[in-house]
Amino acid sequence: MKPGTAARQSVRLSLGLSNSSDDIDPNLCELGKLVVSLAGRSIMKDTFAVLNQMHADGVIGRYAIGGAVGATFYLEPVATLDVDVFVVLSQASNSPLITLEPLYHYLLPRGYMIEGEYIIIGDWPVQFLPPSGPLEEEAIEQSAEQHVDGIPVWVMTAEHLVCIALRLGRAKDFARILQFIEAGVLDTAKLEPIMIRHGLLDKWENFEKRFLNPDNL
Amino acid sequence: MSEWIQRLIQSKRAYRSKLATLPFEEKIILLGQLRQRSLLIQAAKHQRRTDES
Repeated sequence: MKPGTAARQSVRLSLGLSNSSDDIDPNLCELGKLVVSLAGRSIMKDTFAVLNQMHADGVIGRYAIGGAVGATFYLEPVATLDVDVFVVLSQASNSPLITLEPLYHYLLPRGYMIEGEYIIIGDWPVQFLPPSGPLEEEAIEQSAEQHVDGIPVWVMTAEHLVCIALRLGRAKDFARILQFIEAGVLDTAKLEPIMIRHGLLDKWENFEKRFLNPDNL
Repeated sequence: MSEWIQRLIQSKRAYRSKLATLPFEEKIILLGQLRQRSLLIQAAKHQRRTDES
């Protein structure tokens, strides 16, 4: 069997295509390999283990899982293609710019691959995001320790995830905030002070008017 | 809203609540499956575009 044939067949079958010919798009072959590699196993915990090792080796400072994967610690699983890792990165000594170079120097020799803005760790594309302001800095600092199969992992609190979503303000962020509210996992005694500290009360009022007003329901 | 729609919404909410209470180890498996599905949908769109051009 030629290399990649199994992957091509897997994609063909998944897409409901005939399995007779061998002319599938090469991009789909790559996708098929990924699909095959994912089938029947979950290796995100490997991703967490690598993050912890990077922290222990001093490559990254404290980190916190955010985005859809972070939200999944509190909600039903949320469809996503990547893992957002908010992380305090070191700054080049003679430059005001934050650099990902130490991450690459650490990960590439260990066989991890770069794909665009992602680094593939444990088969999941990981995006390392430096905090863009005090809200994310606080979210990293106050992140909660969770355990996945015995592996510790730092995850943003539900309240910080909601505040970051509120600040981003895209349709999918509002949908996620509604999920958090509906799930009843938010502690208003924690949420409100964060909103006040980071000037988000106006945004929250607008959100309430748009989505939580009984007249609109 | 009809009673049937209300029942439907309640049942969806109950299912989502059930999923939310799963241990994260089980949620990870679902995350992987959701990701796989998203990738396949993307591939299907790509295939359709290729077929159309």
